[in-house]
Amino acid sequence: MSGIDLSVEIAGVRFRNPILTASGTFGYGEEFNDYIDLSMLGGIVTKSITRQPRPGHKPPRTCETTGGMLNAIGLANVGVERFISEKIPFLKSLDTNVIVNVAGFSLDEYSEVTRMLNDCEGIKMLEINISCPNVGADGLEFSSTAQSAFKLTDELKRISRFPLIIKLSPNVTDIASIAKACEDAGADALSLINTLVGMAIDHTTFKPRLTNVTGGLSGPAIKPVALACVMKVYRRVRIPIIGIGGIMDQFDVAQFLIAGATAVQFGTANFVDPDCTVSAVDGLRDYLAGMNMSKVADLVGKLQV
Amino acid sequence: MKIHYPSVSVERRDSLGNGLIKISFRSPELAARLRPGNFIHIRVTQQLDPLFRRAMSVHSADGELFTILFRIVGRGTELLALLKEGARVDILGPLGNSFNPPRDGETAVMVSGGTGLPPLHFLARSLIRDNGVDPETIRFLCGISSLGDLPLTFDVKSLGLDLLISSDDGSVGVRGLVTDLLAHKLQNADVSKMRVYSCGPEPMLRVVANMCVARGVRCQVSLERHMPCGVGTCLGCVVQSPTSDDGFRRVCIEGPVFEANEVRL
Ligand SMILES: Cc1cc2nc3c(=O)[nH]c(=O)nc-3n(C[C@H](O)[C@H](O)[C@H](O)COP(=O)(O)OP(=O)(O)OC[C@H]3O[C@@H](n4cnc5c(N)ncnc54)[C@H](O)[C@@H]3O)c2cc1C
Ligand SMILES: Cc1cc2nc3c(=O)[nH]c(=O)nc-3n(C[C@H](O)[C@H](O)[C@H](O)COP(=O)(O)O)c2cc1C
Ligand code: FES
Repeated sequence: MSGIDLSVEIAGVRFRNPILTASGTFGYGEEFNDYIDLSMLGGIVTKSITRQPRPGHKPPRTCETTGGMLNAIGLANVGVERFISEKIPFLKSLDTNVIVNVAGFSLDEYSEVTRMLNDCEGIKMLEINISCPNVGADGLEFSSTAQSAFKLTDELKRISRFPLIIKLSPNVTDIASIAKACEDAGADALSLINTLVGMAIDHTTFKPRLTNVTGGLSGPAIKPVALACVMKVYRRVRIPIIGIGGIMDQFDVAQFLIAGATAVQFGTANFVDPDCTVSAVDGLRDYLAGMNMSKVADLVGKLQV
Repeated sequence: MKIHYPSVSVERRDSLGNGLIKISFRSPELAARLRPGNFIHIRVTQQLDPLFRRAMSVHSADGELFTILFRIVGRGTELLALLKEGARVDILGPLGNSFNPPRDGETAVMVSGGTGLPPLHFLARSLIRDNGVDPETIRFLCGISSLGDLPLTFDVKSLGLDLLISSDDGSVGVRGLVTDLLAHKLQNADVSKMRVYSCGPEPMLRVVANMCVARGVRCQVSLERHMPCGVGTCLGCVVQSPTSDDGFRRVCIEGPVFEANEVRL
């Protein structure tokens, strides 16, 4: 058991293990501090931070579906100013890698939040949620075309003093070409996938189950889609990939690494078991021992086809 | 703070008819920590579907045991109902806040609708047992749909308090809504000496809350929402709240018990 090396490196940042938490499913970290030892994790990703505070959408905001859930939380968050004054002091105190997720509805908004975070201590990387509509321009999500993803990445690369992870959306025709555009614009890493657009309908009232009508599908139901996306992107880019989508345990972690991810994020699984990530760290060690492997990094991209 | 009890054993399971099931669990540690109003979040399967836990209010907690009382309404509760004595279940708890007990000289009036009864039963029981409240001073108004649901009320009845039942079809107790019983109680009463506690379907809670706010009666309502996480992180269970910064409160962690004027139902 001892002598197993779970550490991985992404853009010069060392992670004690490849298990991170996904944006929007782990609050600002403090919510989980009561229940688990955060220093056991490779890292945590905060919920998306926007320029202004956002209350979020009207309830119902979530709906359980087969093997997963739909959410239309609406990027509820305290806004970057309160994030810096109220949340950073706690995050700074943690013995784990803190990644702040940034969202916006215009290039300027992303830029401004990124600039404001530059002055903060205790952040290791930024993750950019590009699945947001560019409200002032064409209204399409930044993630939806290679050009808009390139432009946003390029702009933020010029501003940020932290390495940038660009978080990709699966709701596109060819995720690999968007991944390539982000790499070309200087992205340090990619994370994928964000949620898939979905909806649920109550056939007795004819009403959608979410007030927002559509929402983002997550959980085990999306894992096969996420694995295929990771593999396709791995074949196209050289920068590290963080795999996300339906990961519940150490075996799922291993599968994402084999598909080409260097690390992973647990999202919806945190809602089922607050300690799922910590259990998976132990489980991953056992899995590697059982496979007669001593380094988790040796799994990356080892898909046999 | 420990909240994860991954292997709690089922002590006893009773079917009360009409799809109503009562289960008691053995866990000395958890039982000792549960307060009236708290809920537990139960993993109904180790498989991935249904994925989320199901929230259940605590019906009573005594020594090493605690119980829940629920109705089968879908797949999750169907699976819960299949639990046999000796089975092991994965539970998160205690979750949520609890009721504020009445002050000296105040009477507690419980207003229960259907399977909203358990937290009010737990409250009444603990007022009597732990706070030395005279059972006869507690008014328990209980709305059920019809005679078939009467077993819901048996544990309340055995507390020896002032129980008044209404049913939608008049097959038992007073015909009509439990809110009519409350309206009647509030008439000519010295509302400054009353505290209302309520749990049940939201349309009912809305009427109870409005009635109490209008009459200036102190009132706490316990809400039930779809709860993916139960611990405050998913923001999926929010209720609109005029008194909160961002207009919302999370039912799982800031509730499930709220002052009636704190939430917009
Ligand atoms: C804090 C809390 C305490 C609760 N206490 C009790 C209790 O003591 N006894 C009891 O019988 N039930 C209680 N409930 C409701 C119980 O959690 C639901 O009945 C259960 O989750 C339904 O699961 P299911 O898979 O069987 O139904 P599903 O198939 O998920 O849904 C069936 C029906 O039940 C409704 N429903 C589903 N989940 C909830 C929910 N969380 N709250 C309200 N309605 C829901 C759905 O809208 C649908 O109409 C409580 C809920 C909460 C949030
Ligand atoms: C309730 C909820 C809220 C989310 N909020 C965000 C968010 O604010 N920003 C973001 O980039 N992704 C958000 N996501 C997406 C997750 O980070 C993740 O990409 C997705 O859920 C897939 O992973 P999973 O299947 O493990 O949950 C959210 C997901 C859920 C379920
Ligand atoms: S159920 Fe997740 S925040 Fe309340």
